[in-house]
Formats: sequence, C-alpha cells, structure tokens
Amino acid sequence: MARTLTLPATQIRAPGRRVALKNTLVHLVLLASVVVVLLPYYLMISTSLKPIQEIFTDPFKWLPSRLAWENYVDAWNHAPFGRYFLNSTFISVTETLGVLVTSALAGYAFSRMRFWGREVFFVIFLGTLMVPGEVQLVPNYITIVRLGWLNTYYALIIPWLASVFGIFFMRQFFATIPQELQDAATMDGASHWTFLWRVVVPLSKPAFITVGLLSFLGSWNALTWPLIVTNTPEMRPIMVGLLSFSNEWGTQPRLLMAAATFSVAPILVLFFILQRYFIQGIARAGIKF
Amino acid sequence: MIPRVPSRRVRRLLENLEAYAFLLPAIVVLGVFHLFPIVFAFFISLLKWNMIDPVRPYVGLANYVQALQDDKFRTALGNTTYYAFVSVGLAIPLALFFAVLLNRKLRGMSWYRTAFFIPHVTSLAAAAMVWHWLYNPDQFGLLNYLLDKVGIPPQRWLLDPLQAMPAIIAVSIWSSLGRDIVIFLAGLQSISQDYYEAAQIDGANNWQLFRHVTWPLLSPTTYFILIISMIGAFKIFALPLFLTGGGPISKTLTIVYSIYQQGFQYFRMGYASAQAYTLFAIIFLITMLQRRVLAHRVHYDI
Amino acid sequence: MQVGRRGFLRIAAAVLLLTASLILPAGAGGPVTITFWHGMSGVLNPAIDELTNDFNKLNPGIVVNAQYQGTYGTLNQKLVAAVAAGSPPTITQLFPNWADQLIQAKAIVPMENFIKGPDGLSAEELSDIFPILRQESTFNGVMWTMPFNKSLYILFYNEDLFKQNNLKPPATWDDLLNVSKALTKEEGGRTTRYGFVVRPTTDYFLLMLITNGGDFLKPGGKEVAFNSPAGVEGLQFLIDLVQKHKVAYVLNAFADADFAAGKVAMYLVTNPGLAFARAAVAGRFEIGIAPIPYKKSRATLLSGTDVAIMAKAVPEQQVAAWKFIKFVTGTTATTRWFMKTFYMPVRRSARDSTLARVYLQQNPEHRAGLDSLAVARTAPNIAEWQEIRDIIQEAVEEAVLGKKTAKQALDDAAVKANKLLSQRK
Repeated sequence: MARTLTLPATQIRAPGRRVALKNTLVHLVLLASVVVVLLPYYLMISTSLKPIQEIFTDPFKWLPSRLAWENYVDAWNHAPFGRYFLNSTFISVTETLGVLVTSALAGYAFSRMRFWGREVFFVIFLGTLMVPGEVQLVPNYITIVRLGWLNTYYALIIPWLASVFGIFFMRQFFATIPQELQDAATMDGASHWTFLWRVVVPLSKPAFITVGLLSFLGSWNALTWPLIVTNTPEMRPIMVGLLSFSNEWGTQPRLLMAAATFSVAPILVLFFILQRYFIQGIARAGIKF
Repeated sequence: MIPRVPSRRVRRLLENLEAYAFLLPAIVVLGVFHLFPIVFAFFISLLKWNMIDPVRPYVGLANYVQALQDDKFRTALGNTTYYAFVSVGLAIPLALFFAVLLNRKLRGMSWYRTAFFIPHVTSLAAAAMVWHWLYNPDQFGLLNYLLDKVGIPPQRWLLDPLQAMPAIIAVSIWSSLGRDIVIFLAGLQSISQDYYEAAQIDGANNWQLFRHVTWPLLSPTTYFILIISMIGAFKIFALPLFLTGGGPISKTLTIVYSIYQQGFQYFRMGYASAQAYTLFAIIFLITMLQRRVLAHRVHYDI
Repeated sequence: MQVGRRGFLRIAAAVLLLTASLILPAGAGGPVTITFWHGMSGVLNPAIDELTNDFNKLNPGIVVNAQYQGTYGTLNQKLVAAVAAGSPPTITQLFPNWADQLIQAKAIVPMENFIKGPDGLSAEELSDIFPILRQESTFNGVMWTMPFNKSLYILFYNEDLFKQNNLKPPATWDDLLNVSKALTKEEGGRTTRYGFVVRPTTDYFLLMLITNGGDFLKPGGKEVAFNSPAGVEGLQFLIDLVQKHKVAYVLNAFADADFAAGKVAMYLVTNPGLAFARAAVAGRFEIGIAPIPYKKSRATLLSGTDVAIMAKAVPEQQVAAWKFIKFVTGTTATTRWFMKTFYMPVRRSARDSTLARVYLQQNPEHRAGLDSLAVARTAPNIAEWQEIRDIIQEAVEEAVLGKKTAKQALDDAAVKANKLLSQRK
C-alpha cells in the first residue's frame, strides 16, 4: 500500500488507457483459462463434500447443501491411509534425497570433469528415456525377488535412486557456474569433491529444488511399481490406496473424490511453497539439447 | 624435498578414476534397474515366451516380422503418430501463448502460473477418474450438461470413435500445459531485455518483436520442449489405460498400450518386447530427424 | 537338590531346544504360514478378512495372511510375474481362463488331490457344490480349482418406479422392450430418463447370445459359435433398443451412478454390484432384482473367481491351504459370505440352510439371483478366452457404434477368434 502511494501520479497515469485495457484483457483471458483448467478440481472437491444423496442428481448440483465431511472420514477408513501416508512420505523423501545426491555427483562429473567415455555414457543414459518403462517391469521384478527385496522399502526406493532427468538437469545447471570459480578453488588446493559441496551446491539451490520437487512428485504419484513389488498394506504408498476405490463392480465417487483430494493435497502445498525457486531453477539451467 | 609432480598420464588416470567414482552410484542404479532390463528385453524379443512356461523357444526376428504384419500393431502405430503430432502441435503454441501473457509484469501472474501447473503435479490416475466423469456420454455427463446450457447437443466423447482420441489429447494438454509454460517462461526470462529495447528503438511493433526477437531467441527452449514432448507422446499409455481401455474400436490403442496388452494381458512377452524395441527405433529415428532438420535453426548464441 | 554336571548339561540342552523352537519358524513345530492373494476391495475386503480371522482362530497351527493385490487384472499380472520369479503365494483367487494357463505351466496343483485325500470331501459333500460351479473348475476331467466367490448376471431395477407405473419386472426380451418404452421419459425434446442402458461389453452381448439359445463354442471346442444367428439377433436387439426404439442409451462406465440419479430404470450387473448400487442410491428408492430377460431360453452368465493352491508351496503349506479352502467353501462360511457380499453360496446346503432361508425371507430380492443359478452358463475355461473376450468386445463396439452390421462385426470377430483357437495345443 505504502509503496503504491509514494508513486508519482504521472507514473500511474503514464501507461494510458490502451495499456490498461490490454492488461484487463490479459487478465480476462488468463482468468477464463484458469477456470477451465481448474474445473476438474472443482468437481473433485465439490463431490468430495456432497452428502451421499446429492452426488448423482439430475440436474447436476453445483454446490452441496451442506459440507459432508463424513466422506473424508469414510474414505480415510476405507483403507489404511494413515500407514499409506507415512509410507509415501518416507519413500518420497528418501528417494528425493538419494536422487539429489546421485544427480549432483553424476551431473558434476558430466559437466566439469574430463574422463574417457563421457559422451558415450551420456548418450546411453539419455537413450534409456526412449524406452517405455513398462518394458522394465518384469526384469526388475525378477531382480527384486532374487535380491530378496520383495515387499520391502528397498524395492520401493532403490531402483529409483538415480534419475536421468536429474543428471541431465544438474549437468546443465552446473555448466552455468563460471570456470573462474573452479580455477580459484583449484589454486587453493580444493579437490573436485570439496568444490562440489562447498561451492557448486550452495550456488545451485534452484536446481536442487527443481530436481527435488520433480523427483518427489514422481515418487508420490507412482502406482504400478509399488503395486507390483508390495504384497501387504504395511508397505504400500498412497496411490495404491486410491486404487482400492476402483474395482469391477461399481463406483464410489464421494469416497474416491475425498481420497483423491487428500492424496493430491500435500503435493499441491509443496509446489505452492517452492514454485518460485522451481521456475528459477529451470530458467538458470538454460536447457539445451 | 619437493613433492614429485605426478606425470600427465597419472593425473589423467586419477581424474578418470575420480570421475567414475562420482558416477558410480548413478551407474549402479541405472545399470541394474534401467539398462539391464532394456538389454534383457532385447533377448526376450527373440523368444516366444509366456513368462511362466519353462520352454521358451528362440524364434529369431519372427516377433518383429509379426509386429510389422499385425493389423492391431499398425493401428496402434497410426493412433500414436496421430496423438503425438496433434497433441504436441497444439500444446506448444498454446503453452507459448500463455507463457508470453504470463511474462508480463502484472499483478497475480504467479497465481495464474501456479494454477496452470497444478494439473501437472496431480497423479494421472486420480485426474483420469475425474475426467472420465466429465466425459460421460449423452446428456448425463457434466461436459454435456454444460454444452446443453449453450444449446449444443450431447456428445459421446470417449465412446465416439472420432472423438475419443481428441478427448484424450485434451486431457494430455491439460496435464502438460503447466510444465511447458514454466519452461517457456524460463526461456523468456533468459532473453536479454537489450534486444527488445534495441528493436523498439527501430520502431518494431509487438508482433515484429515476437517474430524477430522472441521467437528466434526462444528457439533452444522450443526445441527442447519439442524433443521431450515428442518422446513422451510416443510413450503415451496412462491416459488411454485409465480413460478408454484402448477403445472404442481400438481408436485409442497406442503402441505402449499394445505392448501392455500383449505382455501383461495375453502374456506374450517376446512379442511385447519386440514391439517395445520397434517403438524405441521409432522414437530414436524421430529424435534424430528433429536434430537433423531443426538443430541448425536453433539460435544458441544469446 | 543337587544337579550334577550331566544334569546341568541336560537342562541347558533342553532350554536351548525350547528357545530354538520358539525362534525358528515352521518345521520346528511352529505355525504354518500361508498367503492368500485376492482382488477384493471396498466392502469385500473386510468380508475376506473376517473369514480369514475366523479360520486363524479355529486353527492355531496355521496362520493365513489374506493379501489384497489390486483389481483382478493386476492380480493376474502379479500372479504371473510371481510365478515367473518363483515367489508365488500359497493360495490365489483366479478366473477359470487363468487357471488353464497356470495348469499348462504346472504352476498350480489339482484341487482333486486334496478332495480325494485323507482330509478330503465325501462324495456327498462334493456333490453338494453346485454342478455348474464344479464344471467351471474342471479341466480335462480333473477338478483343479475350487469355486469361491461366484456371481452371476442379474437385472437391477428401480422398484419404486415400477410400482408407480404398475409394471412388473421384465421376464422376456419383449417385456424388456415394452417396460423400457413405458419408462423412457421425454421432456422438452430431451430424454430425461431411459428404460435401459447398454454397456458395449462382451458380457452384455454374451447374455443376449445365451438367452437366445446360442452357444460360445461349436461342439468340440475348436471353433467359436457366437456369430450364430442367435448371436447376431441378440446383438441386433441391443442395437435396436438404442437406435430404433430409443429406449436405451450407450454407456462406457458403471451404470450405478445413472441408476441412482434416476436417469435409467434398469441395468444388468453381477451380484456384488448390489452393495455399490445401494451406496449410490442411498435409500432414495428400493432396488429390485430380476433374472436376465430371455427370448428362447432362460440363462445367465456365471462370473467371479475360484481359488487354487500353488505348486511352489511346500507340502505342509499345501495341506494348510486345503484346510483353509475347505473352511471357506464349507456350508457355514459360504452362507455368511453370501449374506455379506451377495456372492452366490457355492453349496446347496448353504442355500437351503435355516440361516439363508431366514435371510431370504427378509431380503426376498436375492431369490432372483439364487434361482438363476439353475440356468447359469459358464464361458469356456480356456486361456485363449481372455483374448477372445477382447475380440468380442471390439465387435460389440463396432456394431453398437454403427461401424459394421451386427453380422459383419461378429463374423469378423469369429475369424480372429478361430485363428487363436487353431493355435491351441
């Protein structure tokens, strides 16, 4: 408030009517688009709060007559969601930390070290992105069984501790750090290891947040793999819990939508908090291919 | 005593070793859980194997020959190509349009940006359940209800052979738009303001600014989005799985869906792997082609 | 009391043995642990857990872990992957056409071994299981699986609506058409309620096929028979309801939502659908149940899964597994299972038990389902049927969506299906 008041009046007027009109138009276009984009969420949340009799009505009811919080209670009790939440949190956090470490190390090697086979490794890594993940399911399942990891956190976490995207992104980001810094560090006798953790990492906060957020997201939303390698509810994450609402016999939208809402919410909150860094991260990496 | 300076060769060797040490964790994980299965799948693609039969005869390239002659697989190829070109072709201009709007220094822009990004962080499984409901056929679905309000007759959406794929494309754009916008925004913000000022001094209008400054200088970003979107689009699977089951009349049967069907529903692992390798070849070729045709048009020097 | 050196050693050995027997699992006299994979979610999951807990309480030497593995499709995938990796469960739910594949791969053991074994079933106890269910569990004359959660298709209708309009539930195709006409409502040029709904699925078509006197396969089982005139007429009937008479619409989702909203008066579904329909309707009207309307012969399609014992399990586990299966398919358990989940009881004695009779008096709508059991038909229990179902599904879509005539669509499907059957060993 105070700041706007201190602006000289001329400066406010300066853009003139045309610009103001244009800005309003921009807002209108964006607002309309956002309404369309968010419509499914409206349906999800409003359904999750409708009393059971109001879910299937003709004509469609836009607003519930009262907020039926019992849907959330029923959905939560439909499956061991408390346990699922804990599992998802543990798996996603561990996996994200792991991805950050492996990506930083490999990304650093690719961007700032010279070694035999650098290009070959990089191309092979990128090549794995071109093969559909479904191909990996069966061999990986067999590997997990051989290792005796079935129905353990190992099976849920370890296969995803490295990410090609993460490595690629870190490589791009680290490449923007001036060579002079490294030269100076080398003069001071710093090894690559020291330079990475003392200089590169602190300068790369946005990159870490970007890779971290995307990795967390992928882990939180994972469905097929957790279902394949777990056998008991004690080991299962949240998205598998969502699956228990879809079956061969019928729909339960009020429970499903309530569960969808509370399982998607943590990710939204996280994104909301970190989104500023996220875009910075992508901007700085100056993506090239 | 002066410490002996290691010879160049030894230094090179040491640096190599150090680099490999840095790479080791990633190589182990990616090697065991990503690369090995891909190699494994290649050997499987030369066998006839239903996963549980101990007998798995070697059939050479028969699975590949079968794939090329299989009407279903050809349908899947056609559908996937259609999906890839239309969805990417629509998503990129749309994302660019919104990114340019959002790049203005106006109030509330970060809110819009966040709103656009929300679908990208939502699990597709959860989102598909809502979309399936929106797309209910006849006048009972919510979309049809809205159309009815403006006097348009009800559509069959996912049940209509002609509308099913466009309906899926719409959801896929809805889901990826935020990601593309953010990447474009990042690209826009890295274009130096000097270029615009110089062009404005020359009297360029908005369109000319876009055409001669923004568009060429944004080309690395556009190129990046194009490449990753195409790779992703050819691997499309989750949406048809959750929304249509590949139907109606196989109109949304995609290549990965076909791989899933052959491998995990009919348990023809060899055949499914051969299809997967065919897909890999297609993606590889398309990526190379894009590099050939487009790479020299990309302006990296900003 | 004096304990000599020897005595002390003995005591020490005894203590050691005792501790060992407490620490070491099965083999040292501890309980036998077995796992049971199933695909029962929602209200069905607690019902399974209850059965399992009851069994565990009654059998201290055995611990059964019932584990939900996802939808049937996922269960099948996990099962095959687990067999491939050598880590299957002890017992699994399975459809007859999966069983065929597992038998070929020697992944399951015949149920018959246990039925005829020392703790088996008497001839009387065996014949107490409905013959149609036993038939579906039998492959080449050997009973490999045990019927567990079997269901069949029935017709759900909005009873209040029928009463208001003085209508009786339809018994024949003609009735279905007439009732649908009576219940289809138009307001301002827009249909606000349909009499019936057509889901373009394999099962909707197969129901029309068999209620019209048609069959799945030709005698001998080498070729399909679903493209017979009976099948073509059945498919055409569904199409006519939608296109000619405009008393039905096509839906690619569960019909319970529209049914609950009063948008459709009748639909076809299997028994466990009742729990979901009730939840959707939420007491706004009564749900009536009737047998599938027929043209030439009363019939319905059997659905639901059986249970099998995996070959990889050790003998003690297999014996324990049989004990569990015998328990859950016994008269008491199957009666309670029926009342909780609306799946069919698998035994005559369960259907005729006092408990079931009292229940039926209070819930007479369930009679329709139980009566249909006498005319239920089973789809071929061959592995290829899985893919043939998809082939039929596509034909049904082609016909219902007007891309091909019913005859053309079914004939084309038959060619594809016959090609598959010809490759069968």
